[in-house]
Amino acid sequence: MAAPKFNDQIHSPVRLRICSTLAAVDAIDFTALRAGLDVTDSVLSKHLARLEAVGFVSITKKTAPGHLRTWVSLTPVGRQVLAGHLAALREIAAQSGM
Amino acid sequence: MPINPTPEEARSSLEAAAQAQAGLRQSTSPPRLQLALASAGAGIVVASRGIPDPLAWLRWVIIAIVVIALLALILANPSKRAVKRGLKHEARDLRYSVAALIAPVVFVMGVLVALELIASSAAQGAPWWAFGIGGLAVAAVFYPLGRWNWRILGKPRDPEV
Repeated sequence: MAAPKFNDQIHSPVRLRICSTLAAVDAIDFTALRAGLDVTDSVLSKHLARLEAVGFVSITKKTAPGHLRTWVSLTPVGRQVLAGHLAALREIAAQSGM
Repeated sequence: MPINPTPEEARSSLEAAAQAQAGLRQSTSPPRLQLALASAGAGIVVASRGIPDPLAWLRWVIIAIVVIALLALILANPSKRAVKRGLKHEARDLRYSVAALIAPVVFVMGVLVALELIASSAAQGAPWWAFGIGGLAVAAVFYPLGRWNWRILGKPRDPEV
């Protein structure tokens, strides 16, 4: 269990959903991720770039027959930070006594 | 400026995170019907090998029914969505369906092949190390196939967010 630690980078609604989705898989195709989150290409690219810049996700491009495919995965650091952030959110949510 | 969410905001963030994962599982997990049919099909095919010779044709009827049912599932599954999403997405959906279908078949067949190898080897008095080599050979064939499937589907990890 990760120690609770709030993270501003992950807390953005889209980025939290991205990281949560990535936490469930080893790697996911950009198109599948976009479809799952129901966001546009540009929005997803922007948030992924931000997460990649802080080292929470890794983006690899591999050639598939006829086109380039982008794979996105959560780094070990990102996985740890996400776990800590979710633990922090649970603590905050528990403060209301519900 | 640091962000200080209220308990309500924290709760809704947690819900959004859980929903994102649930949505992914729903879209990538092998459909239960396909999984059940594929497993049952593999089981029936293997079980039908015990059918006596005069009824050997029955084996092929069973195999044909299973293959047709599985093909129908593969083809029917993506076509509903294809109308809404367009042809570009049909290929991806089809790939998901095929992968979702192949994953349990690969798993079930891998186990059955391994069991059959062990049983037949034991019956012929094979030495103990032959089982290890047999196991490695089966793993060498089925492991890459399984990896290919999970690569497409998205390998499930920790069930808790």
